[in-house]
Amino acid sequence: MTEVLQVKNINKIYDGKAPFQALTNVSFMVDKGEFIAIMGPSGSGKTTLLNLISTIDRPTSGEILINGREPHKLKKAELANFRRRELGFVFQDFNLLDTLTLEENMILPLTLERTKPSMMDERVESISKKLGIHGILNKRTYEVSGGQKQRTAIARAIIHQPSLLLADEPTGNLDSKASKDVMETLQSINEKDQTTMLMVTHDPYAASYCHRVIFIKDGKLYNEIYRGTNQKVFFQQIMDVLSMLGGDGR
Amino acid sequence: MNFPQFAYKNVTRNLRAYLAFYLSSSFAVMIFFMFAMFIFHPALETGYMMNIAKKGMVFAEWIIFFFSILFILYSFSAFLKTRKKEFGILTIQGAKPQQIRLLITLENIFIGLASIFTGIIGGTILAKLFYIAGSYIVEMEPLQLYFPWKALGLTTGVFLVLFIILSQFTLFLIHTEQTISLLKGSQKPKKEPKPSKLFSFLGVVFLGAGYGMALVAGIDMGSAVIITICTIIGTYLFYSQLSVWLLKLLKRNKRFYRKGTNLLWISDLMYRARDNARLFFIVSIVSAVAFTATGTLATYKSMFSIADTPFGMEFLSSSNNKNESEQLTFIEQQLSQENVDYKMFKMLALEAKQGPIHYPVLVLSYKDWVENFPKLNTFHLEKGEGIYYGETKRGSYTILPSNHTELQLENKHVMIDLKSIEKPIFSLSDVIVVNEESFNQLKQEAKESIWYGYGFENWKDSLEISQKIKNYIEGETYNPDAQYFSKSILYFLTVQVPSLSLFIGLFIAIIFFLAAGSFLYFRLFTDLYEEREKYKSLAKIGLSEKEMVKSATVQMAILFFLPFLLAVINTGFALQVLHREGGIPHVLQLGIVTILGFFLMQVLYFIIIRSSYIKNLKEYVFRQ
Repeated sequence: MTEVLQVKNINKIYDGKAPFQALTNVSFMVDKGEFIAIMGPSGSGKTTLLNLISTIDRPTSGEILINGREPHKLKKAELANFRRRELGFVFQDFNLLDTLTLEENMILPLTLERTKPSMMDERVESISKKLGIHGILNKRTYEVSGGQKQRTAIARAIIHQPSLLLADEPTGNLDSKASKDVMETLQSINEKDQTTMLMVTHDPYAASYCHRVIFIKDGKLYNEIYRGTNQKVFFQQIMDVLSMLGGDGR
Repeated sequence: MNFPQFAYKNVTRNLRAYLAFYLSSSFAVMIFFMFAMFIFHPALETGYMMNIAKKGMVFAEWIIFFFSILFILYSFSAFLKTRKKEFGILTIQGAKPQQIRLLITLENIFIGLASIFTGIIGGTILAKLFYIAGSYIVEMEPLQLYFPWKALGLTTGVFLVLFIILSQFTLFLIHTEQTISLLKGSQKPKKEPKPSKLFSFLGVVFLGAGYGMALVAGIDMGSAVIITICTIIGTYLFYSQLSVWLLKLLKRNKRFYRKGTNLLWISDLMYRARDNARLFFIVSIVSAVAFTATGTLATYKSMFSIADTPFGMEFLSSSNNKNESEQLTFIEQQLSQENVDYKMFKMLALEAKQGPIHYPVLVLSYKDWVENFPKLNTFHLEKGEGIYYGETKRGSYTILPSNHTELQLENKHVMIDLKSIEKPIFSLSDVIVVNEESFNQLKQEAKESIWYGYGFENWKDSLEISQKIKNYIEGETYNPDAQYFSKSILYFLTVQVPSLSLFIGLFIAIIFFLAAGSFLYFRLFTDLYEEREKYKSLAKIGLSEKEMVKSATVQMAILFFLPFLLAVINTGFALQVLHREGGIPHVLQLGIVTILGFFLMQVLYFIIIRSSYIKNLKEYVFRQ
C-alpha cells in the first residue's frame, strides 16, 4: 500500500445552539513521500481538517486511515502511542517548552518512548546537523530566533521518523527569510528521507514548495493543482486559484 | 455604565478568576476574626486570664495580621499577574494608570467586603467548633459564643484598610511595564537560575551552624536567637541555591534525566527554582513552627497529672497557732454554706527534719493512721521502724537515698528503718508513720501539730471557697504555723492555667498549618492555566494521559512533601533543644507522634488537592 493517508467522506458538525457543518464529504489520498499543502480562506475548514487528521478531534462521520490504521478507533493510551510513533507535528507558534533547551525539546518524543540515551545522542547529532541547529543545541528557547525555533520544532517532529508529518501554518510567525529557510528545510527532508508531509497554510509562497495543493472552501473540496517542474509557475497557478476562491486566501 | 459599575461587572461576571483571591482573603479574615473573638471573649475579660497571657495573645493577633498581609499580598500579586493582558487592553483603550488603580481599588473594596463578610460568618462557625474541640483537648469548659462587637469592628476596619492600601501597589506593577508586554501577558520565559558558589557555601555553613548549635551548645536567649536565625537563613539558601545544584546533578545523569517524564518535571523544577524557593521557604518555616508548637504542647499535656489525693482540702495547724479554732470554724462554715457533704479527718502529727537534702516530714502514729485509713496496706511495725509516704504534689518523684532515714528533732536525732515506701496520701508534707512506742518517745522532743483532712466529692467546684479559705488562713504571707492545701487550687494552677496557654498554642499551630496548606493550594492553582497549555501541546505530540498524570503527580508531591521534610528536620532539632535544655521528658517520642499526625493530614490534603487538580487538567487537555 502506498497511501499513507486516506481521508474518506469526512463530515464534521459542531453541535451547539447553532450547529455548524465545518466539513462536508471531504475525501483525498496522500501517497508515501508526497508533500501536500491545504489552502483555503479563513473559516474554510483547513484547521478542522488538520485536527481530524492529527487525531486531536473526531469526525462526525467518514473515516481517516493512516498507514492503513484507523486511529479514531484506538483507546486513549494507544492513541497517545500512535501519535508519538506515527505522527510528527509542526505548529505555527512552535509549541516548544520554555523549560527545556533546544536539544531537550528535540528528544522529548524519544524520552517518552524511553529510547536509550546513546541512541538519542546519535539522532540529535545527525538531525541537528542536517537542520543547521547543531551549534545552538544548549540554548534555551528565548535565546534563539523564530526560524531557529521552528527548525527545532521540525527536528522534534522528525526525530522519531514518523510516517506522516503534519504542519499547521509553519511559516505563519516567521519573516520571509526564515520562511524560505523553513520551507527549504522541509523540502529537503521530504526529498532525502521520503517523509510524507501535509501542511496547512495560507502562504502561497510556502505552498509553492509542495507537490500538490488542495483547496477547500466552505468545508468542501474546491480544487487541486499539481506542481510541474517550475516553482515560479506553480506559485502563479496557486495565486490564480486563490483569486478565484475570493479573498486573499486567508 | 459608570466606572464603579464597570468594576462591579468585572468582578461579578468573571467570578471564577477572582475566586482564588477571594477565598484566600476570606481565609485570612476568618483566622483573624476567630482569634479576635477569642481575645475579646467576655469569659476571658473578666475571668482568670492573667495579664501576661493576654498580652501574649494580643501579640499573637498582630502576628496573625502580619501573616495575613503576606498571605493576601501573595495571592493578590498572583492574581494580578493573570490579568496583565486585561490591563494592556485597558491601557491601549486610553485608560490612565490612575484609572486602572481606581478600578483595582474599587474591585478590591468589593472583594474585600465580600471576603470580610464570608470570613466573619466562617469564623463564627469555626470558632464554635474549635472551642468545643479545643476545650475537649485541654479539658476546659467550652467557651460560649457571644456577640463580638469589638472583634467585628476590629476585623472589618483593619482588613478594609489593608485592601485599599494593597490596591495602591498595582501602580508599581503597571508603571514598570510597557503596554506591549502587558498585552503579551505573563508568558515571557524566565532565565534559568544560576546558583552562586558563595551563597551555596553560606547555606551549608548556616544550616550546619544552626543544627550543630542545636545539638551541642548551651541554650540561653542569645544562642536560641542565633540558632533560629541561622536555621532560617540556611533553609532559604538551601532552597534557592543548594536545590539548584541538586537538580543540576540530576540533569547530568542522562540515563535518569532522559527517561519518560523525568525530563518534564526536573526541567520544570529547575525553571521555577526561584519561585519555588520562596514558597518552599515560607511553607517549611511555617510548618516547623506548627510542628514544634504542637510537639511541645503534647509533651506539656502529658506531664499534667493532678495529684491523686483523697482530700479536697488539708489544713495543718501547729501548736503555736493561736487562731486555730476560728480557722476551723471558717472552713466548716464555708463548706456547709456550699452544701458540701464532707468527711473530716484529724490526726496528731510531729514535725521533723531529715537533714539538708531531704524534705521535712510529719511523723504520725500507726494506731491513728490505721483508724483513719483502714483500707490501706497494713504493716507490722517494731520500734524504730517506719513507713514512708511522699507528698502527692511530687507524685512518684520522691526519691529516698536508702531504706533508712535520720529524723532530726529539736535536740535529738533518731534513726528510723523504712520498711516500705508507699503511694503518697498527704499533700502538705511527706509523712512517716511509726509505731506507738516510737511515736510517744519522739513526742517528748518534737513540735506538735494537728493535721485536718477534708474529703468530699466534686472538688473541682470548690475553687471559689478554697480561695476564700486560703486568704483567710494564710493571709498575705506564708505562715508556717497554719498551712492550707486545696486540690482545686492546685488543679487550677497546674492544669487549667497552662491549658489556656496550650489552647492558644494549639490554635496558632493549626492556623499556621492551614496557612502552609493554602500557600501550596494557591501556587498550584495560579499555575494551572500555564500547566494546562503546556500539557495540551505535549498531548498533541503524543504525551498520554497516564504520563501527564504521573508527571503532574511527581511535581505536586515535591511541592507538598519537600518543605514538609525540611520542616520535620528543623522541628527535630528544635525539639532536641527542648529535650536537652528544657528538661522536658518524652519530647522526642511525642514529637514523632505529632509529626506523624501532621503527615497524615498532609497526605490527606495531598490526595484531595491532587484529585481536583488532575481532574481539571484532564478535562482541559483530553476532553473537548
